[in-house]
Amino acid sequence: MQAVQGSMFDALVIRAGLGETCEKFPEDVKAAFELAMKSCESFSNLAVGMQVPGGSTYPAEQVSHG
Amino acid sequence: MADIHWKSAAELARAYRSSSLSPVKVVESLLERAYELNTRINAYLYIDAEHALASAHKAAKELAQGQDLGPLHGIPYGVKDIIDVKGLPMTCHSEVLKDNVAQGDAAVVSKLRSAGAIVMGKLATHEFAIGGPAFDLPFPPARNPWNTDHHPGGSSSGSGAGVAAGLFPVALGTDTGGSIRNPAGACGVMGLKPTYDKVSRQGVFPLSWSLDHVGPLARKVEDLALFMQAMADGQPIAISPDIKGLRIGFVRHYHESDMQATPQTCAALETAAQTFAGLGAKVSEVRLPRLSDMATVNRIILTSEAWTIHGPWLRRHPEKYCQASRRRLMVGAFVTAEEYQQAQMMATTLCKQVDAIFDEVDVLLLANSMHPACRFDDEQGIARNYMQHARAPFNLTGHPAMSMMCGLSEDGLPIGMQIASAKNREDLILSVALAFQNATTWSDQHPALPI
Repeated sequence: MQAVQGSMFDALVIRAGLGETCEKFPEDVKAAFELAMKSCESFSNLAVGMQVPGGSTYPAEQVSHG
Repeated sequence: MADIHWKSAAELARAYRSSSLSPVKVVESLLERAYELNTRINAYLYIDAEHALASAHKAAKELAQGQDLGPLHGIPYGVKDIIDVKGLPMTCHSEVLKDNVAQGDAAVVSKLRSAGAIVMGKLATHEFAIGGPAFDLPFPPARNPWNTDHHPGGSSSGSGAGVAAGLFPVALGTDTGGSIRNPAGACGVMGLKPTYDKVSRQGVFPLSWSLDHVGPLARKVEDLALFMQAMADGQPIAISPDIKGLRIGFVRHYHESDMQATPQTCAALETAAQTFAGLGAKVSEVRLPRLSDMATVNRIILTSEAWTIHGPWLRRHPEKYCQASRRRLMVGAFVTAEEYQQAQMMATTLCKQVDAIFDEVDVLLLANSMHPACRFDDEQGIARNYMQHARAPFNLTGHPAMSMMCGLSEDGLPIGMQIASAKNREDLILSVALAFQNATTWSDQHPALPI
């Protein structure tokens, strides 16, 4: 699980264009990543089942945080 | 005249017209106080003595000649340093913009200039209204005048601290997740976050365009009303302390179960509710959408939009940002477009739910911060300051909300409450606040500062 999270972190850092920033401030990028994952998890839990403006409901598969 | 620095803008306006005070005397007095106190409070990043004095002389002359621009003519105020004032530094409290000078006035400053108000200087903030309090920036953080070892709240820190310290009667702040109401509460003054879009954001450095609001902080309700009128559409805001029959919804679950406020905060809120009932208002308990839900959606939108603004700079020069900014801003780099769009849709739903509450009640009474201001060296307390509060819901929904003092902690630090209303009903909020101001002595209490 730790390895999966590590590769996910690397991939997302590259996608965000934060490679160089990560070399200079690794702890800050890691702290931001961890906070983001926590926020996105809370958000996903909230999104599941919440009514949207059109009256439909969010299916679980539409709230993954990629 | 004694205690010029504690006079409200409305009192100064009356004194100018009775010739018992002049704008020159007032600006000179406030500048003297600023030079004495600012090294301890750090509310100002830049004191614009030259232009303030020139504007005061001009206002005095115009008033003497009967060229009266209205109640703000000759009234001094401070401006958070993320708002443009032509010719003055506009640093956003950051190394990134340390040498930046505003080329023009923000729309809100332009309106206040037309009304004759006088800019005293630029005020401390968290870096770009998000990174703070921090000691790894080119300028020090503002300090709480009630106890300078304590945080003054943020991000409009200099605005709250400066108004509380009597450096100016009114200041401009901005509020994206509570940044007017947090320092207003922590520093024992008043701060009004108006309805979304009611005050122009043109010339204000954005943090999150869906959530950003510009508003005033002051020591008296009348001053909030006078400034709001000039900052918005110029239409008079009619306020009355007669709140007999007004329906006040008390949102107890925010500070009793969604979060847990300190016993003194809970007690102060109960006392405020009783005060309103004693004034003839109909106080009943109501429920809003869960506080954590509102905060979660707010956070997704705020971090996504803030990253869109700062990503290009931060990737190139991360060393120019303070650590707190780096950590908070980069969160947005890991939020997906899908999550952002879902959050926007959820905000619409939550907004409708809050709208519906205002079919049942006229205003809401609720907690501001769950704890009084913490010490600067209390890391957990600082983190708590930005998590344990009830401000974010109204950034998300765009409803107006204000904070005002309703108590003191056992450590002698202010306790604040919030009053919120339906959109564009700032008049109701200010009327309820005026009734409370008249019925209590909280707005007359000031920190004991050395002169």
